[in-house]
Amino acid sequence: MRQWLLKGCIHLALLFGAALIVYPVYLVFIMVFKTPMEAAESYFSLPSSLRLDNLRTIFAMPAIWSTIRNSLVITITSALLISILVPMVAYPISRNFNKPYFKMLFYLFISGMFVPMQMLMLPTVKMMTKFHLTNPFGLVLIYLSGSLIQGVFLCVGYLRTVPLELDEAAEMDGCGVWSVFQKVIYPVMSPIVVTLLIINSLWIWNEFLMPLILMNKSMSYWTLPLLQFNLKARSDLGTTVQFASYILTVFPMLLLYIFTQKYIVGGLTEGSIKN
Amino acid sequence: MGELNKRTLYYLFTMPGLLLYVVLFLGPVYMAVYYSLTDYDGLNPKFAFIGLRNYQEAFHDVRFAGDIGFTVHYTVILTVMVTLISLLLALALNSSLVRFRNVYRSIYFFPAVLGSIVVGLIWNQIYYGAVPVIGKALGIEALSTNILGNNSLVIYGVLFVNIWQGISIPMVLFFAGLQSIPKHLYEAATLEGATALQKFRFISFPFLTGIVGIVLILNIKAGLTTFDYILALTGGGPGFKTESIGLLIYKQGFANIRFAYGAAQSVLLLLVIAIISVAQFKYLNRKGVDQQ
Repeated sequence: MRQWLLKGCIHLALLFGAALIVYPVYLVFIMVFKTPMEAAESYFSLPSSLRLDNLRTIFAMPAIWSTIRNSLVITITSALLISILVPMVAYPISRNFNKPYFKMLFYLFISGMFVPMQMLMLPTVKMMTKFHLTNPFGLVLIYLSGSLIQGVFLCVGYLRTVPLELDEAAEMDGCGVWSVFQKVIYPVMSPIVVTLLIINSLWIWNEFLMPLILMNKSMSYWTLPLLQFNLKARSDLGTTVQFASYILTVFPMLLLYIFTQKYIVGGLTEGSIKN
Repeated sequence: MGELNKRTLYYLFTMPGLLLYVVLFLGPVYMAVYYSLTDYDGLNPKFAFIGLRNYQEAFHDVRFAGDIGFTVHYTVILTVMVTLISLLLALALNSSLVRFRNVYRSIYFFPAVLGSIVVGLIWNQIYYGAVPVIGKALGIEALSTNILGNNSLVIYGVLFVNIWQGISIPMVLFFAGLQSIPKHLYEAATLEGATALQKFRFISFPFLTGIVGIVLILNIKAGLTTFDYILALTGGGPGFKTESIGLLIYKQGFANIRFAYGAAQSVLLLLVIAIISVAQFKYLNRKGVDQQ
């Protein structure tokens, strides 16, 4: 009897919690198809038909295609460069940890964990303005520098489990440092590189503060989070159009999540546990 | 290929990353400390060194004190709630009593892949349009108007959204921790007649202390630097009721034209985060040794 009651309570709580997560997402999906009239009448009722007016309005905005392109290009470029840059730094650190320079380098990178974004915010704007880098290229450079903190930590941790004999065997075969890295070590690192790609793509795709402070003034540099935020002030467009802008990120992420859930959950948890 | 050549190449490998990190990450950190000792406003190229006066001002600043109060309050509730809820969820999902565990886990994890700004904007709309309708229908006074306009409840409105998204990763961490506990320990305890609570206290919990530490530190840092949700939900309002330190520093630079003062406040924030993190690492390391 007690067991039965407990079971009931747990199920009820889990269902309630799941509803708290699913229902808002569902509301976003139905809002996108409503007319402003229907939206004003009720948040909860289904749209009378699958009207695409709101999506049409969004896709007719002058900045929309450049915004989508910026988000994609910035995320993909950064993630790919990170997946080369970070292992390249981590490899010599892991192989020379007894030498002061490399040990110091390691602690220099991971000490960045303490630094809050707000500390970088004002100086970064000043610096990037001076270098004429308040554009997507500058943003990619900032993401690269930021990715090293967690990335070096993850990769050095991983490389410590890779036996030195592997390097030595490759060197016997006449490989130089570069080919040992490229032909032997990097392939062995592929699980951690996948983790790096997942964590950093999600972070950069969703990141808001840096585009806000560096590129908000020029609409052609906007990213999706920036567009969504700026639409908040456009009450003339109406609620339903704002919802259509949310779906631009919620829907692709939902699809991606459904198909690659295992990797995303694994990547994000591994990333945070070693943070 | 000589030994010297090999060492040079190792150094060269570290150069691109080191260069980027020193210029674009440590550079701004250094600049924040440097300008915090000046009266630089962010625009006027002429400025003077004024020593620690920005820091002195911060300690007497009523608005800064209010923001610290809000941020600490926010951080404490966020950390406690996220840790508790995600631990309870993980326990429920780990229990053999529950069916469809994988479905639940997928649902609860989903918010982790969304951006905090879009989550904030969506909830901003829901608080405005949907929650009051539900509140009225259920006769709950507190929810029958927009909670974000309510002086005493607005903090919980923001916290709810942060928790909504914040529990997913800790939940999976706790779940993985619970799965790693050898089953025979529970079986032995059952034979000895241990209650469920005792089993949790003496078997599960010792395995989870490391993860509790990680979850605490992640949430303390997230709470102390909270920015996105607040900007999307309230902009710091009503009044200054939900102005976090993170938002204040942003405003010092971009609205109040007080670059140097904002920099000083950000240095103080760094110190607080560093002290808490180091203290916790020390504490956890001691615990870790005790366990083995």
